[in-house]
Amino acid sequence: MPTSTSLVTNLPADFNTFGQAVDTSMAQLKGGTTGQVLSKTSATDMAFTWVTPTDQTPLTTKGDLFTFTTVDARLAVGNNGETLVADSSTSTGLRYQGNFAAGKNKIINGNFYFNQRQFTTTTTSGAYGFDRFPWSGSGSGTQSYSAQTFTAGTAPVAGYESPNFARITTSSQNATDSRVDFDTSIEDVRSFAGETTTISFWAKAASGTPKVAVEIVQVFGSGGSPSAFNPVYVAQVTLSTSWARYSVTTTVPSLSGKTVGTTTPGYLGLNLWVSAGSTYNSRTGSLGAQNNTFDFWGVQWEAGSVATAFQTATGTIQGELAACQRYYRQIKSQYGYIVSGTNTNTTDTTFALPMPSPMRTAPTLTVSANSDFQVIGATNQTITGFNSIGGGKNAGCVFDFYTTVGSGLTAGYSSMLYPSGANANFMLSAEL
Amino acid sequence: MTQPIYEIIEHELFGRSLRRTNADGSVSSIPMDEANSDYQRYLNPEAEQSTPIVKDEPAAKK
Repeated sequence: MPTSTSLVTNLPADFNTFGQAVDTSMAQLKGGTTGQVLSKTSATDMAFTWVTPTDQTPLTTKGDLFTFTTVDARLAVGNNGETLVADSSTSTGLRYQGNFAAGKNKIINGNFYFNQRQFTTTTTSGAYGFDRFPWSGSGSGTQSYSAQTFTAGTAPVAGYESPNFARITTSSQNATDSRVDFDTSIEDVRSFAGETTTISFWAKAASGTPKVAVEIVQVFGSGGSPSAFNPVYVAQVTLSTSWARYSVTTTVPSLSGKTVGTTTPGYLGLNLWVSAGSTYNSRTGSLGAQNNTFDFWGVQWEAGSVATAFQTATGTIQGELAACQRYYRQIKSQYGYIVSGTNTNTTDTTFALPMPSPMRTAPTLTVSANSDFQVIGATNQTITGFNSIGGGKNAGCVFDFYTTVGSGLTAGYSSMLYPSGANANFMLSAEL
Repeated sequence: MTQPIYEIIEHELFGRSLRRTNADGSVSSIPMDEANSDYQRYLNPEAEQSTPIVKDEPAAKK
């Protein structure tokens, strides 16, 4: 091998010697096969070998995450709406699970847990059944709204046993004027305004493949000059005879250019139409009259474009009851007195009913019948009238009302409001 | 359907309230408060103030 000071006398031979030296030095770079990479075998210069790499990407599918067990590993993407959590019991230390956070669902009592009115069935349009869920059944035809109970183990969501579901039944529906929809609402028309939201619910029908039309409504409240009622048709879903979850995504209209009431801020409503004559085509996507039995459960309305795992509005039973009682509460006492008051004259007695929490507004007082109650003081007097005075809507407040009897009270004396029997029902409503 | 019957009740101490006799025989006392939906329905029974509309229950005032 010539050096830098060597006299070149035979160039071809010197190049040949040089080439052989290079070939010998780089011999370990020879060989190998497709996909192999060079790996050092020691710290010595030019000490290489060809090896097949073991750290190739494990990712195969959209949404996969590159994770690690004892080697590189793939974590498949979760289902829509699921979130990633740490879980040391899994091989990767990670797991997708449903988002059960409370507060995301703006619908109160979406699992129909509370039925304060203890309703079983109603045919009265506008009546509330399960808390926060009224219905509308008007026009020609026959329709009803009833409370149903799940057999244990048959609730539509594994791991979420629920006691009740709602049923709407329709028959002899009219192609023109029938209207049957199952409804709920979110207080304050500002709710979700301008936001992408997803409405989801479980449903099934007794037969066939009827449809449910989803409509949202913006009601701008009272006081001043609020904007007009704004109904917005969203979409239809097609049911089967098995429980299934349905979801629709919609952007709630912005409030730009609208005026919200100065006394109350209205509400954002959700109507699930099961029958609609042609009068309501624009509100239901021409749903049409339908005769069937429709079951509903698990109503959720949340921000975002996917339906996440069902959760009640508050996430707790006691929280959900308190949320319901902002709008409705009742007292049924067969044997004990309800509240004591003071006679203001020979016929009237004022009462101040302590409220466990404030209601939305001064409530309407409804009693099953005046004669279901007595004012008991020195004598027993059957009530001829209940009259609201007001209150009941501020923290720490009481609800004031007075009763009237024929005569016989002594001004300044105390009296008790007493139920006369099992039917006595004292109800306060501040529904939207 | 039997229409509800409304009656305004006046009291020298407690002012006015609205009494409604309902189709099922129950009796309601409605505060004359603009925020109360039952009072709104009394004022404007044809409007869809609340879900759902109750077309067949117009207010009858006496």
